[in-house]
Amino acid sequence: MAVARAPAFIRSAGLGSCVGIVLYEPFINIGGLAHAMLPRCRPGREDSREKYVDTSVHLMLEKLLGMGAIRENIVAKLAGGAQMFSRAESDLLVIGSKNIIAAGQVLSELGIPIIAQDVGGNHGRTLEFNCSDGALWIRTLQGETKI
Amino acid sequence: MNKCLSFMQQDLLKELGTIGSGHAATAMAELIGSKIMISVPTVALASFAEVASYVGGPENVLSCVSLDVKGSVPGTVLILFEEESALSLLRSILWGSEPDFKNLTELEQSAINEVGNILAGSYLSALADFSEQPIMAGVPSLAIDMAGAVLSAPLTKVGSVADVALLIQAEFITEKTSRGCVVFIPQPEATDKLLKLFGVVANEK
Repeated sequence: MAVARAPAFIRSAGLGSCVGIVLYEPFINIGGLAHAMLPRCRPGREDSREKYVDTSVHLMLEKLLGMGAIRENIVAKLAGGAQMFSRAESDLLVIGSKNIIAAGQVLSELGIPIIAQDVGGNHGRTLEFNCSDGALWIRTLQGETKI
Repeated sequence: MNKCLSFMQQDLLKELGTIGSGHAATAMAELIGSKIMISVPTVALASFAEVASYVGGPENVLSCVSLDVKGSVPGTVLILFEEESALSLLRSILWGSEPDFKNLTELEQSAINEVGNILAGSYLSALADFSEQPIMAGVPSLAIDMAGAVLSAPLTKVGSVADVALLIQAEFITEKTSRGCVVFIPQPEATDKLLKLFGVVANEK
């Protein structure tokens, strides 16, 4: 999980079932990108807060507020949460969906609107977030898009 | 993490690799229709963070066959090949084919799944010998994508608690050399059991 100010870019490579969550404050051009692997942090796992959707979002929000972000201005973007293997034999293989749902819930609880998303599917994604304009670039084996 | 293992522990790992490779060479020869040599592999116990670096980093595009493992040491096993190695193996199995790595035909996908099945079965049966208890692999499933992406789902479950994966890197020598990596990720509750098989006590790290 990283936070930065313009003109920095924040990058996260090879997201499969993991979900990338961007928080962006467009008036002062600061933002953060979290790369979360699992939906909810369990008790006793506080040392790996960045791995979980809920705790990584809270951590990122805290840092952005500390950098001067105005809470009401913050918006979110989501990418990732793919199902990499076609066979869903165990709940392990629908972890991507669970991550997306958790991200939606946590952001809703915090009152942060999701203004763009590219989630699900079967493909891995590499993300690059531009703090200068809030653009989230998404690269897959098929090509590149921007949300 | 491998640096912390004693010579005896490293020997046990190597033995697992050698036995597994023996099984694999026999089965692969049947698939390919000619003899295949499998080199003495590198066998390591790695942390979650290290696995991607063994296979060229999180953005390196790989073929990944995934199988669920049940039995005395449950978990997931992944069989990973970089593009050149996967294509080389495919040409050995499907003579005359010119596979497009990012757009494999169903037949080509089945062939890679079968290779994954064979390799998983071979090394897991060696592991079963070590544990003296049954270990069974399920049906293979294929993904071709960036390493970080294909590793995300199985490593995710491990990442929540323990951080150990068993890595076996082997070379398959036919006319060309292909390099493959077999990664066994135990479920969190089975990690200590796996470590014990190689004489590693959990808090010795």
